Amino acid sequence: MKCSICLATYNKPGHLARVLESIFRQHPPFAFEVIVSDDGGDPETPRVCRQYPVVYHSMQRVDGRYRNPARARNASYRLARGEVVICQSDDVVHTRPDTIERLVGDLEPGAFLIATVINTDEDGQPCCAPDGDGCGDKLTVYTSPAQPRPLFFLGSLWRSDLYAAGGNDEEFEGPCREDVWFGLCLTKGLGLAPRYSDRIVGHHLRHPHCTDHAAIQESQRLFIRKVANARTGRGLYQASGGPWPWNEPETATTGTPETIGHPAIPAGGSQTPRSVPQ
Amino acid sequence: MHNQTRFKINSPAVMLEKFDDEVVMVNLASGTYYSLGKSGAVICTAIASGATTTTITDALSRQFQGSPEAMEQAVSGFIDELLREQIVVPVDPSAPEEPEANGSVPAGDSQVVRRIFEVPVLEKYTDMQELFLLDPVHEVGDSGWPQRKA
Repeated sequence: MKCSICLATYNKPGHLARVLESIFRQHPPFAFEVIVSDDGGDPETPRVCRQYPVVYHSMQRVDGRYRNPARARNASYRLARGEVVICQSDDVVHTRPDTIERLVGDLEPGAFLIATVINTDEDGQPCCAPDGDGCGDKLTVYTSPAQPRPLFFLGSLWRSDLYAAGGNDEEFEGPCREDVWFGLCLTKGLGLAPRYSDRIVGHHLRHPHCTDHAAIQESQRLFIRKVANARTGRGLYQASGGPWPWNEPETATTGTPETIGHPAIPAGGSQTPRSVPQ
Repeated sequence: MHNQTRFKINSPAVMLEKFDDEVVMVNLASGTYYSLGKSGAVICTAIASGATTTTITDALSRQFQGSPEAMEQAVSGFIDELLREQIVVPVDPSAPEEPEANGSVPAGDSQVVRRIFEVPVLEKYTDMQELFLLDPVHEVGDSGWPQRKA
């Protein structure tokens, strides 16, 4: 298995459908799998996933607490079998028919790859920033060679490196800084070189933002503490759970993943998806 | 001099985290990371508790060996630096006191040998500025973002 595309999703079935559509339109010259870790309760999400040949995993939240995106992503990473892992958000659409091929083919040893990701409206049209001059030329760019941020809105890395970093740090219990910390674990912890590509472009579909300011602030504090500890040697640039053993992927402990259709897409032939319900 | 003036950490722009031997502050508005040890850590911790300059100097005298006059001058100069960096702001005397800002400073362990006082040093780092400033997911206003181009 050459490539695993891993993503965690939280109550965005409409966006997820478009993302999966953009993935399964492609025909890379190698086998790949898609693993979706569902961290929300929207019943549409599994229905959307059933339209595509994905490995679907539902996160079981025992106490009904707010989502933990780090844990959800890790669940998908632990199920991965590919040599290369494409890590992405559940709202970033692949814009080119060779996106998967490039994310794998352009990945170098000792590095990880970050695609250019542009913010778009619900029609997938690039949008200008709110403080732009209205000319439409200023796009809101999340990551690019000119905006080099080690964030996996859409990117790829060697699964061995992902496991060496220990995946995402699950001490971050809400969204905010867990992605930035992951980037630091790769660059400062493992010494990997970030590569920012303008050959690979993803469109981030707009969505409502997180309004849990207490959770955001807590994430900020934790991030500062981890950085301070790592800078002084009290800690490491590494996920709190430590590196994962490099062996056959585990079965997720929070529930047996549901395999839909034929999870391994053979080289050069993606399964034609059934039509997505409107 | 700022003898009886109180200051406070410029929250929420500045976040302060205390460790055993260090105080770390991040100015989220500029992305600048600051590290303080020794007397600097004592001073910032005291400021965060709402202590006046006089109280801070007294606390330093209990924990460090040195001339009170030199400590007072160092504290005043250090507060000026913190003000320039927008890490602290003066407290409005008419504003109600915050519950945790009682102005008290821990006495310190009387059994511990007092260290030699050194002028506090504010270590400033900007190598992670971009990462601390980064928050694209949450930079959304009430009207929604991004706006569609005309």
